[in-house]
Amino acid sequence: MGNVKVSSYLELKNINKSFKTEKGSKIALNNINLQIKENEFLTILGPSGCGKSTLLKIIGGFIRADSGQLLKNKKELKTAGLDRIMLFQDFEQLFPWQKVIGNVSFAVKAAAKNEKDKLTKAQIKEKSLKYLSEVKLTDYQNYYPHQLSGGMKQRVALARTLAAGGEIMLMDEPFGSVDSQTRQELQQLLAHLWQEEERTIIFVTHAIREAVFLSERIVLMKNEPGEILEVVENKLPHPRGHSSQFNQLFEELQARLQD
Amino acid sequence: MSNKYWQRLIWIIVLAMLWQLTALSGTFSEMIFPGLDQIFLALIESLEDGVLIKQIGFSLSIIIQGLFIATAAALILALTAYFSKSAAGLIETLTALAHPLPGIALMPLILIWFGSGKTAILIVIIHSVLWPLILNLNTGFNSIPDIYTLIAKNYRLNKLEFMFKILIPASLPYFISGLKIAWARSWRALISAEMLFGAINSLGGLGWYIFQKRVFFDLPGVFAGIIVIIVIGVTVEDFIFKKLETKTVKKWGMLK
Repeated sequence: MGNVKVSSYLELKNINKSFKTEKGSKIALNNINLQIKENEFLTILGPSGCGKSTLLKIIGGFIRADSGQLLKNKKELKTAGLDRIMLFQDFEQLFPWQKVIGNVSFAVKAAAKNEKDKLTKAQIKEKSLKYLSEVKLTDYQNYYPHQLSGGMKQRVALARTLAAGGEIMLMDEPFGSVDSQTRQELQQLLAHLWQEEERTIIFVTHAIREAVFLSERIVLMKNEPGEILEVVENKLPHPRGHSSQFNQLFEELQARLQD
Repeated sequence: MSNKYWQRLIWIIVLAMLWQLTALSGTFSEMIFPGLDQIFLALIESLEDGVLIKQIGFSLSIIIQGLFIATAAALILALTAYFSKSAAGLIETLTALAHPLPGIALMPLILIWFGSGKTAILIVIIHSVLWPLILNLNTGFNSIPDIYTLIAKNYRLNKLEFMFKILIPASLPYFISGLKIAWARSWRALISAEMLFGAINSLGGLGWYIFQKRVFFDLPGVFAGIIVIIVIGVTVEDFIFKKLETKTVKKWGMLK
């Protein structure tokens, strides 16, 4: 299991964000305060329109909050960077002109350059293959993305995200576009990877089951305006099968989201 | 050979037979409607004495130079427009003004400014290629998925890396279709420019070759020139560009 440190690592302070619409301005996020621990698996769970994706984009540095602060180890973060790598839902996130291995080595090269490491071609290949084997796609290294199924594409994207070497991985409903069977496989893979690697994962979803299966803490959000309802601890032991405790937590969360 | 090429071959044979029958029937004078036998004799003769080969070489070397210069210029201009809003305004205005202007309309002016040499032909070709290529590249650059720009930010790519690792490959389908238009337009521009600008030391390209044959009322020679123009045009479109597409955008699933 990931080594969870108690001290606050990533911190969101009084984050506010509104968007301009035709009818004036709409509040997407209202006074968000959240502390995220190092190496924890956190899900942000809420209905569509609650601002959870916006929140993730703010953490990623893709958009700026109107007010409030984003801190990592007490230092303010203002731009996107390789320490917070985003995994998207869209299959288009892979580059169709690169083979599977090329898509992964793209991240290996970017990470090496960021760390000012000089890697040889063989080292880049070796590293990329290591991440591909973690998502069990070594045999598909020379395929092009369009030759893969949706689930495999997301596994390549996951390997690329891992290969970037960031301490924090941001995931925006990454398994939202695959069938339920594949989705379960991907969830198991991710849960397993998180236990192996020392990484902080912030995972956005609207599927309660997914949140219960994956994460250690669950941030419940509501919409209009987007606010945090509460943060629920999930101490179920891994691997998380469908036990009675699982269902109990599931129903509890469902009830709280419906209030 | 695929079905499409068989079909094409069969139709060419049918059309050739119709042509030959018309020529043999004597409806038209041999002077203005030569048979295929005469046309091919003229073609072989011109190929053998090396005149035609020289003209083909002249035409191809000019067009390749023109395409190369224009493609490089179009890439630079389109990339500048992508990264700078104020430059985009200027480049878009220039393109809007120059693109609808047929190269042939500029020829009298070019003749006065640059004379009738190779430079003049090159300028006509560049004009006919540059603007459609810029238009296509602009469309290509602006239609890359937003997610790529997010990824570029996230992985901290600098502008140069973004250009070569994402922007250009992502817009390759537009680039290639722009090149196809560029080729078709420059080939037309070249032939008409050669006819108008004439020869330098007896070298004037395929356009000049046809024009000269007409002066001597050598119609088989005229048709021989036309056949060469068709063959080169079809070869480039069907083989070079097809191959380029199969090896890139089709292989990558970016083009069905």
